[in-house]
Amino acid sequence: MQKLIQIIEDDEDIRDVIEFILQESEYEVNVASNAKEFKINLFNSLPDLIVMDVRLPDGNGLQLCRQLKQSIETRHIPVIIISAHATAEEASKQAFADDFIGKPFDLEELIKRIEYHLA
Amino acid sequence: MEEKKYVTKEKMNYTPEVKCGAYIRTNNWSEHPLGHFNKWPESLTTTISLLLNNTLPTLLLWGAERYIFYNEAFRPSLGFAGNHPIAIGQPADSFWLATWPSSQLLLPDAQTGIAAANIQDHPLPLYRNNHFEDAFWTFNSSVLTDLLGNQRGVFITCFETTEKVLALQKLQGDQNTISQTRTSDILNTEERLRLATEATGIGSWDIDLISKAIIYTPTLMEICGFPRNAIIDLSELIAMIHPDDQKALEEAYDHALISGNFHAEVRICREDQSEHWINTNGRLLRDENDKPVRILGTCIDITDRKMEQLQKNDFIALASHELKTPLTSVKAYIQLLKSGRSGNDMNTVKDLASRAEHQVNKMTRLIYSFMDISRIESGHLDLNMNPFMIDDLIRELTADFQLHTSSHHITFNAGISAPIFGDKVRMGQVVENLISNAIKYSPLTKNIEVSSWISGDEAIVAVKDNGIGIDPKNQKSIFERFYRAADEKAINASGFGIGLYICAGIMKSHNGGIWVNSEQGKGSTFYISLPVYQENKD
Repeated sequence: MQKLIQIIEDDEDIRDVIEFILQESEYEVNVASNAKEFKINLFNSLPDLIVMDVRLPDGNGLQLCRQLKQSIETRHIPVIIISAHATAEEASKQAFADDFIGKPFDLEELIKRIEYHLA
Repeated sequence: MEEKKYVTKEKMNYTPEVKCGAYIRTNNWSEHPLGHFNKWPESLTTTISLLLNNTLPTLLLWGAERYIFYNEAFRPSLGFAGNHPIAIGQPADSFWLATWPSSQLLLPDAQTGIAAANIQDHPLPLYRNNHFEDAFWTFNSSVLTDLLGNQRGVFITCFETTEKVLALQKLQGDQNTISQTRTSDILNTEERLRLATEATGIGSWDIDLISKAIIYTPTLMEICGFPRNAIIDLSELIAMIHPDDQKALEEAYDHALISGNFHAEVRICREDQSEHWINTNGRLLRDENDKPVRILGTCIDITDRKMEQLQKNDFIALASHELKTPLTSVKAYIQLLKSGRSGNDMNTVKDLASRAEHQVNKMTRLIYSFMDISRIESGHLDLNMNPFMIDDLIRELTADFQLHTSSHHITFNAGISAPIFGDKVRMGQVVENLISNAIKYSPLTKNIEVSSWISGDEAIVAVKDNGIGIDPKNQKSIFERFYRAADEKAINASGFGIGLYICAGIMKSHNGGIWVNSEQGKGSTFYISLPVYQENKD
């Protein structure tokens, strides 16, 4: 069964690029450009992994990550946070994220990390 | 690859040995909105005692935030064989992040007058033990009020009947126990509409596919343009979906019948004639005979984002189209140069190269226009304001135009003896655009008159041509983005239709104005005005 990856990213270009490369790697992909959209994606189907930007137009990525880790329904889902700010790495740890990648990131690296966390 | 895992499950608040009662007593509640344990209202502490002493699994949802309290008997239902992360005190919508939007619809509420609900063998799949499990529940929920009669929470005694239901299914197979119960619940729907408080902007809906009854949250009504406590039935709701999107809705339902997942992005036509785009996601549930019995989901209004997306797509389509022409020319010139057909004649080579350069400049100007449009749209047109003599600028520009135009005769009557306060580059853009338009739209006549004067405390510049003129009904729209007049003569002129939009944006940023006087077939005069520079304003 194909694994489902959820992307939460408000920058359209980055979103498209990640979606494209994930689909190429045979993953099923759901995209959301803000937290609200993500929550209704969530209702539909739980992803196997989440790639999320720290900055979201309608909320804070770190807060959302914490919520995901506190909910009994989603705490098991690996969350990879991406951000342009190096300082976000420490904050991601505090928010119980499973991994952190800084922008600009290497697409191959992202795929490797995703494979690692899905294993 | 290096070990990059930040957190393992053990590090989170995971204390299976602690009993519920002990946890409530000993937890540090000072960080929690409820505050220190000693400050909790009596209604809460009394209810918690009741809950802890109850032998049946019991759940308390306290306050508008629905903080969760449960007892030992309830723990196994949370999965992980009763070893669960402590959820006590967490808001329900955070604990059941994915399913709460629909689960909350099952709660009774004081405002509807329904103080209690008794639901048997209700299908409520939950995420636990690392996957979604089908689960069935019988529960009895009642509203808790304080001594003054205000609703404070919901008290739910429940037990899972999953094993029983699944066993019954195996034994009986035919009996439609579940859908029968569900139907009778839904028959009370009209009474059970409640005013659940949610501030998320997410509307929830739950449809019984057999009785066609629908229950929903007030936010859904808001999304449809109704008051929060409005009442609607399913056929009315479906009729509100835009006729062009009805097919998409049907297709989404068909897809749900196959995959169980429902997803649609459609327009809803409100009573006030406005159209709103909504994004809705849901799940289709079946009974033990695999018959579809229920579909439930959430939806949000995405109109703003959709409009942006459509505008952006339009813009990109137009932009690509406009850029293709100069790009084709450049490619042709370069291919010619490559092919060597120009021979060794340096003059020919130089000529081809400079034509290619001209096209590149044209594309560059176009791209800068796009950037300007974007800046004007977002209100970030940054101006470099200084006092300067606008007549000098106009003189320069008209002289420059005259140099490159043999088809027209451009005159300038200067009359602004005072400086104006503005961005010289941007004002130059405006005047240039007006003169260029005058030339473009008067192919058959020769004279273009530019004049300037002061009127009161305003400086005015006029550009007059004797060209094709503008139809009166279009005279306002020409300043809009992407507008190009539809008549033939205008269409023959090349260009994108963004010049006047940008001029209007620039004039607005200068606290000035732009307008036109025109007669079709006779010509047009474009005017711009802006305040004269006043030193040491009091």
